[in-house]
Amino acid sequence: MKIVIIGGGAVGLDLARNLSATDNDVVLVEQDAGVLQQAQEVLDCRFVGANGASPAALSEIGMSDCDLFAAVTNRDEVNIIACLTARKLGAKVTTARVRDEDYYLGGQTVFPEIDLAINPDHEAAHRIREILFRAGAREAYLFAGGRVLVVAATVEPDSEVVGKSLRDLNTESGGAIALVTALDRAGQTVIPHGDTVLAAGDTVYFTGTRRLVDRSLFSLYAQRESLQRVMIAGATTMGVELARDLVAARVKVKLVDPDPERCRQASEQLHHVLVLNCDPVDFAPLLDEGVGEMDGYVAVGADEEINILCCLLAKRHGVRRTVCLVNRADYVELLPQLGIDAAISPRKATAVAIARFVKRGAIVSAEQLGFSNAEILQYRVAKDHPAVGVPLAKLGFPRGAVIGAVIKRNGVETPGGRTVLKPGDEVLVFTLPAVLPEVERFFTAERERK
Amino acid sequence: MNKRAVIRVLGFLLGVTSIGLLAPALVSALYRDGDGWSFLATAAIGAALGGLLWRLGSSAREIHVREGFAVVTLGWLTVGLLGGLPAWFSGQIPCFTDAVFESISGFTTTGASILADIESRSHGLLFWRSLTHWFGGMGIVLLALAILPLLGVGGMQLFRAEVPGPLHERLTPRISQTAKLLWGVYVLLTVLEAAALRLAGMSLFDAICHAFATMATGGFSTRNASVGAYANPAIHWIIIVFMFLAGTNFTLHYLALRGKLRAYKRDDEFRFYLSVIAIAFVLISLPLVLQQVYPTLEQAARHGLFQTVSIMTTTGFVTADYLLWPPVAHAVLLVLMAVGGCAGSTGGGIKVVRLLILFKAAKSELQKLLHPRAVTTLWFNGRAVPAQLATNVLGFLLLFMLIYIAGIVVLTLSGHDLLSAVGATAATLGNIGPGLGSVGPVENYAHFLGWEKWLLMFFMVVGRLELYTVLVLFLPEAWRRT
Repeated sequence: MKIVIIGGGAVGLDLARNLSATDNDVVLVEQDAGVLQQAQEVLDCRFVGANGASPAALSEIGMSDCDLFAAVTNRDEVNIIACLTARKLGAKVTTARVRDEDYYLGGQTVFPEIDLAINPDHEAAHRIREILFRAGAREAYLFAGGRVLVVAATVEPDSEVVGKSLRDLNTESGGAIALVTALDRAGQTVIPHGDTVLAAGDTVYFTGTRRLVDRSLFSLYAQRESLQRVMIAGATTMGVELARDLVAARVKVKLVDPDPERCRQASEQLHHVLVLNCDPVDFAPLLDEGVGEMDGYVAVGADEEINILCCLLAKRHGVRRTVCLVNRADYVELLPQLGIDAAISPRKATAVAIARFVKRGAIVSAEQLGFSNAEILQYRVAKDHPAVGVPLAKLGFPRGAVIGAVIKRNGVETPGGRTVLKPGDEVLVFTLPAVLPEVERFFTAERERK
Repeated sequence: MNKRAVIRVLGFLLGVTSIGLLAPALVSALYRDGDGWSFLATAAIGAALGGLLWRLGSSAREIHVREGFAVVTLGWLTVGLLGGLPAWFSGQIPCFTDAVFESISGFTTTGASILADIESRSHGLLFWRSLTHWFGGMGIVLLALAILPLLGVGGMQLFRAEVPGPLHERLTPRISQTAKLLWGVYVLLTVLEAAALRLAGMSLFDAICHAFATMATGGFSTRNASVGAYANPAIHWIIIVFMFLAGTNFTLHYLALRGKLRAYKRDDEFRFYLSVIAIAFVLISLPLVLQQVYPTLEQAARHGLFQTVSIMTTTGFVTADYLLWPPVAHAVLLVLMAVGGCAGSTGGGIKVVRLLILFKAAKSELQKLLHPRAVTTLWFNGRAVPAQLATNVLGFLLLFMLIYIAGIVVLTLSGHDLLSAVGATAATLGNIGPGLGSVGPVENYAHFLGWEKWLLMFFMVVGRLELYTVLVLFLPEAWRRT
């Protein structure tokens, strides 16, 4: 498959690395010669030093045989124009990173030429909100406009679910529990089944509607989170978006940033948010602002090390829940040991979402579970798909993958053996990397199966 | 400053006024009151002078900031002077100062009169008095902008200099189009009110004159006892409603007419305006009820609300002598005189939006004491307002208070009692009309000395044009060539 990536920034490099690892021809287009030079040393792909929105450069690369076009520079305008140009020149699937809310209308770009527009900061802000509102939550993913929620939580040693199998849990609660669709044990991700027994230290992924997931979390942690006050360090795009999200949920928000200009801009965008101009690492003034009485502390500054440090300081001063923006995988592994509750990595999320958006039409979205290799894929069931009308139990679904939720037009269904798929339904599939090709084949290779 | 461009626009304004003068001439002819000639003579003078200025001047395309201020201020003065001539010519008001006072009071929608007996004046003059209100209410320069887009690029400068309020919103890309829409809404509401008053039993002449005076928040009545002369409660209620509408931002009316009724609910200023009226109404009417000033609850409520809305919107109609009411009513009315209507309305005063912004600024200052590192922004109608606006508004309030205090000092120095001095300054600077003490609702301004009347006229114009437009001309650099 021929894949063209515009922009050699962190996202572009991640994406190029991810896609060139498998059998793809990747072309990376970057204007800055220095950046290109660095990329050449670490990546195995073709490099073009040009403006990614230039029709001349793009037609020279060849768009008619381009299967995936991904514009991920840090400038929204360039990304949009590049996608429009690429489509005009014949690219099959186009994706763009568009971060400014101003370019969206009702959550979508107005261009039919852009197949997927990704706003990682926006999505990350929503995920942080879901994590903050749930005691014990470590990760959160939203699907179908927030109708389906996937939340990861760790089983504590003193929890009453330790030693019980999933089937027992389900019978005890009378079926009113969210599916456990993935399980992380000692760094290994598995797709569990009814006989899987929960152990202390497991991270379980609950999938279902908000109500169902919340009820299930309650069986792990017999306490509800009351989120009233949150401090956000970093008036970045994500910080501002999160503040707006939280204020809408009637949370009192204080936003801290060391840069006066960013503070001013944030205060002009956020009503009812107290914007403070001070260094988040300098805690003396923040203590005056009551950082110790916060229910949650979120560090989303540009500097990952500072984010971690801020969360540690907040934890030390008594904040219950801390969430941290970290993009480096090796840092993320450290966080649970440091006592930081959750990590958010929008850059990684962008790369995954684009990488999986190759089969146009069938896949709706994709997420990577934490920093494991397991993935959540959202597929739309095609009209002539062989699975239509057959109960799930008889479907012969690949082992190592599981359907976590069926999203119908008017509601979300928890799948069971007797669930039947209809055309237009969307399914949420949890899959291990080994069976990913099989899952892809299941949803895209059509009629010959039947 | 491009003085010749200013001269040309002044000539145009005189021309517009001359056309307006034909209306009272027609009314005089209809009622055969023998005053028609004075209006025609004035119209001829205005047309001749206007034509002369038009020829002396040069292209009005060169209207910039300075010219805008000069055009509006000088325009209001010349038109005000011209408008006083008919009453002086015909001898209805024999003293020139008094005639000009009446005219300027009309154009600035103040409604302060020097006439003790209004009913004995000719129909033509009474009509002209109401018409000056109506021209001045939405703005004579705005009218000129609406009729002729001759002013081209400079339109916004004039719009800003004449239309009240610290924030100016264009309804359309072209300023002349916006002016037309605003005037259109204004005409529509005036027609509606006149029809309603006629149906409630007023004579057609009185209905039209009162509609002019209400929609302009002026206050000239055709009766000695103002609106109090009509016993029908329906008339009082109709006028209450239209005074309230006239004190509202006309942009909101326009949006409502286009079907966006939610515009009222969403507007911070409108909600604040409504709450101020509600609170003042309770503070004024409750003592009236408790002390049984009026025999029925409806009367106490009606007179209380009428006076509240009339003073708050700076109209100045009266149905009752509020000086006979408990002192708390005087105190509340004095506060309302300063508050005034909404921005973009025909009302005068400081304007509701300015007070609202100041309240918000004060609150954010208090917040900064608790949070020394806080970075705050003022929000108005769901949007962040430029930080500079609060300073602008604060400066406005300071100037307003300075002029207010100066007025009180000068008038007391000249021998007036404190209450009358306060009342007269507040009532003219706020474009209200009736004040307190010797200029109360059943009194008039005839007893002031000649120079005092000119001072009060200055207050009226300064108040109508919201201080800055006039006062900036006192800076020498405003007149220098760029």
